Amino acid sequence: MSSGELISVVVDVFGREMKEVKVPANFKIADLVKMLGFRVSEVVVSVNGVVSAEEEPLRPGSVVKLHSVVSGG
Amino acid sequence: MVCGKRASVFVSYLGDYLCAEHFVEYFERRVFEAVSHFRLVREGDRVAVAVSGGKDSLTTLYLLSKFSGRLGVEVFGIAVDEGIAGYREHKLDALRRLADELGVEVFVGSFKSYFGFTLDEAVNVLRERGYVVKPCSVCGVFRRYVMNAIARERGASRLATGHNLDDEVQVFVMNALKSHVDGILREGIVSEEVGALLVPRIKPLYFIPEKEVLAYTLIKGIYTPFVECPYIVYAMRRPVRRWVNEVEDEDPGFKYRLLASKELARKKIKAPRKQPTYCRVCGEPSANPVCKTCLYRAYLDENYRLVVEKKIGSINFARYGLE
Repeated sequence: MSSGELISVVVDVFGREMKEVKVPANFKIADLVKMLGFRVSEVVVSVNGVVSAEEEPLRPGSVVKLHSVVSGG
Repeated sequence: MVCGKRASVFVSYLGDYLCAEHFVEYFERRVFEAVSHFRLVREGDRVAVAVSGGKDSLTTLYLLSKFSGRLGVEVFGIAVDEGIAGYREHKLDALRRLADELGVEVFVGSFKSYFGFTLDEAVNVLRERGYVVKPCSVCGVFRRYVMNAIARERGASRLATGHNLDDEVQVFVMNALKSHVDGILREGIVSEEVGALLVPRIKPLYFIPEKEVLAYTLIKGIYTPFVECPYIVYAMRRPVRRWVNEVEDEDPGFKYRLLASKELARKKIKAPRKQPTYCRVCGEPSANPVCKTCLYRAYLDENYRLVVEKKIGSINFARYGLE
């Protein structure tokens, strides 16, 4: 994790909880997912409403929504 | 990357990222190819899709209905209402919405109407008796019974379920942990035909990771509410799922390699062909003299126990690990 500049993004966790999170400016979606304690294979992430690959860098002010893969039948 | 557009989904099978449009195209082609390559359906089939209202079954219903013209089959949905308050009604709403959009009929059967009690009521009894059998075991057995019964009543020649790669891999690992070799050999993309009473089951999403199914439903706008079954905490599946996903994160493609191990085992060791045998109480197909549905019903419901005992004499529940 870099100790440089921080940016803030809004995270929507499974539609249950919204929170603002500060992360290093060079963070990728995958880094955020891991930082929040989730496994990359267990969430799909949309950024500002668009399903996005985990390798994408985060941008300041983005709304990052986590969708749980594991929802049970 | 195929076209240079913004990447949406990492596809571990390709080891590459795809944009939303190419992902959808890839996903649908892969499901269609699994259905045609493994001859999951034949022209003229009446395909019942077992739908829970979750993303996997809704995707199966959506795609089979989309492919029905090309495949020359008729598609309809069947759903089981187990009677789980705060869960099932939300899922059934999502299902009705999609079915209306697709113009597909859905038939619903409930535990209450088939067995006389809801799953919630059954769980109360299980709890009083110290959970010697878990809610998911009972629910799974009852669900299979009801799904097969509705499919047969509605004249289905195939019963499609939404089982995806993750389900298959988790069940494989659980079977391996329990040394349940027979289970490993019998869990394939299509079930073997065992007599006229069991509608053959097919799994069109067999090769699709669960995560890709979710990405597909989000991109396509197939709505499925996020509600988890309240009884999931009792299942052994949870730790297995966690472990498999942890390894997959470290080592993408792990799930495909697990599935490959299973398929190789199934190829080398053929499951012995079984003569169909039937439950002495209800007459449904069963490997044992009394099927699990009848056994659990008798365990949970005093009146049904009397019905069973009238036919076969007293039941020694301890013999089945039920005491």
